[in-house]
Amino acid sequence: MLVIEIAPNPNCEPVDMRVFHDLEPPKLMAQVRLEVSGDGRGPQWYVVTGWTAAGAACPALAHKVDDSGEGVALLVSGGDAGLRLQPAGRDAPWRLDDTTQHGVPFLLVADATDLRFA
Amino acid sequence: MADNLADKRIGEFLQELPGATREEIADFRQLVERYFLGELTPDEFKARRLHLGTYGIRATKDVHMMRIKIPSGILTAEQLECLADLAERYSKGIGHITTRQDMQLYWIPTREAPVAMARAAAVGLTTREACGNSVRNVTACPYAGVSPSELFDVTQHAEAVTRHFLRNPVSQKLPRKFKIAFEGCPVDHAKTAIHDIGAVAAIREEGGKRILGFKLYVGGGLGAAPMQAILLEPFTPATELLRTCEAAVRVHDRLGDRKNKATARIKFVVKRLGPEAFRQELFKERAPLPRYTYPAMAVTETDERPPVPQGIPAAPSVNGTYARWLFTNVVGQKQAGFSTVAIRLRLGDISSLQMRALAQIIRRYCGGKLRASIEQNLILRWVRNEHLTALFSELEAIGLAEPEAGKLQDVTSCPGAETCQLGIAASRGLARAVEDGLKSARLSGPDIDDVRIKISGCPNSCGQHHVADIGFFGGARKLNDHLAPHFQLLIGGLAAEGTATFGQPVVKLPARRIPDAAVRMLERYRHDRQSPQESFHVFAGRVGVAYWKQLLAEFTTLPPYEQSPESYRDWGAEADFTLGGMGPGECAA
Repeated sequence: MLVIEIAPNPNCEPVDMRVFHDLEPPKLMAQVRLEVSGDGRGPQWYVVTGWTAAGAACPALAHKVDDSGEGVALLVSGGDAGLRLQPAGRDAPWRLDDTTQHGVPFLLVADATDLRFA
Repeated sequence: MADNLADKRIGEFLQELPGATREEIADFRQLVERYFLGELTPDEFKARRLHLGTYGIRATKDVHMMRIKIPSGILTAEQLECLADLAERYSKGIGHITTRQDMQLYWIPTREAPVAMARAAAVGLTTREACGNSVRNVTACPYAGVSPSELFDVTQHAEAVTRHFLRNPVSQKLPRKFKIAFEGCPVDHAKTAIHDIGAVAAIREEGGKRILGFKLYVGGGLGAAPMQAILLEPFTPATELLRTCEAAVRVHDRLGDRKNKATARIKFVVKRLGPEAFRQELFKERAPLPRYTYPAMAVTETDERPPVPQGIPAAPSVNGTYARWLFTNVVGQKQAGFSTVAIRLRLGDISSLQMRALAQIIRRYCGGKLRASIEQNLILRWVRNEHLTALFSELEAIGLAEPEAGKLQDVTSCPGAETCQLGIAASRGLARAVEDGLKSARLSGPDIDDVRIKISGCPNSCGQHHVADIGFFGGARKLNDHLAPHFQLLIGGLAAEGTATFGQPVVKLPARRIPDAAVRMLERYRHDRQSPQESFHVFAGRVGVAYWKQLLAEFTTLPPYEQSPESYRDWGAEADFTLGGMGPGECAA
């Protein structure tokens, strides 16, 4: 069972306590394919890392979890300040002030083909 | 032997059903067989059963909760008896009315699920699309057709939308669930502003003619990221209703985020595009769709006729509760001489015995029908005023004449951690304790009856806590080095036509302190308000979050664990609170 609770932080929106039931051991994440808001380019690959409240990168993990819609989904979670992403192909150091990067609390991905593992 | 009996029963029921229903239940029965033969993985089976409203139950395997849709909340006596039978057979004799006019039955073994489904289908009830990424049960104001203040009866329009989407290929694999509600009254009983589509009755005068239609609010929702729906256009004629709803579903299907389920609801499409661009997308989607028709497109009046009452006993003498029940539970209809009667179901629960007895009562008093409300109550309609005392006595005899329906002491709660796999804390246990606390403190009366308390066991908001005057949702935190169930308090929420004000987060309170905290809040409201006319919502906004934080600071603590271990337990629990042992999460209704 996974508990996600993210306090206010500079990386992403806070999240009240949520629980997920994990079905398999997690896998270390490298990239995720997402549709980014309104840029019209369609789904793109992003490098993903976990992020801590102390301002450091940490592993991002994908867990197969139960889901109310399609039965199962893939929960991508990181540190106590969520996840941080940057477009694939950029290898910039992880920084909060890098505007090409953005933070999210967690991702709930339907399709395993949208994930690349480390 | 048991399997053979189940096969025989399902065979008998299947013979009675319409083609599509018969086929899908037969298919489901095969799925169950293949699952037990190992030909389907649990994941494959789960996706299929969810689409048919069959959920897992916390910490169990191969036992299910089944959500049975009650379109527009309308139930017949025959359907109620069927639900009574199913509840008795499987669900410990209890059915649970949800905040979306469904009935949930529990503890149904996987092998028996097709039998239960077929039995429900035999009386016209379905579980199909009660869950999964589809158009869910279409809800409607339970006073539609009889409300003195309604513009027109929305029932048949809601039913047309139900028929349009059930089994419609366009709504089978959406990015996420899709909820539709209808309202005809100025008071928004259906809470349209928090739905993916909220349809509010409207009439436009055109060339001396009255054109029937709706104000359609699109893109509302609660959950962890609550959003208020936007008005799609000033007026949508009824002739455009079905294709406009379909256009909204198609926009959700096309533009909803299929990559990240956490942002997949249509509300995120509205947020991403902005209201105006979203409207244009929807109009573009609507333009090529056919103008679907339905018989009731021009119907303004209810098609219900006053029933002929049968076998009503002579008016008995009534007890002291009657006057309060009459005040809180009975409302006059627009049809002179008739009233609606709300049956308060504590936490939405009704027993099989009560369902059977109620079925007999509604046959005699109400023409054999009733409606479920999103307040988790049941509404009897067409009760002749001269029969109210007799009805009260009959309801009282079966424990269904509690006053306070829809009032302060009628707390709404989702199933919470008792059965729901996403539940963190016991919302039902807390709701019971709060109701008892308010009753003990004698907190009721016209000046505070309209304050509403709603509780969810997690942030997903199945208890609609965001739009309550006083809302709570479940969580946990450590106090004195011990984990204890907590609930986040939200203050000042409200849903009205086209408007949803979401409660402001105030403070997290230990579950065991909340009944006393609720009493304190209401007593201080009575004491500090500017006048009895100042509503709780207005008062809460005026005094601000800091006022509540200060008032409730003393309720944020617990005595040391060693002194009071029970303070760290959840309501109804006999063991220490833990976040472990939670089952798979499927039920974000």
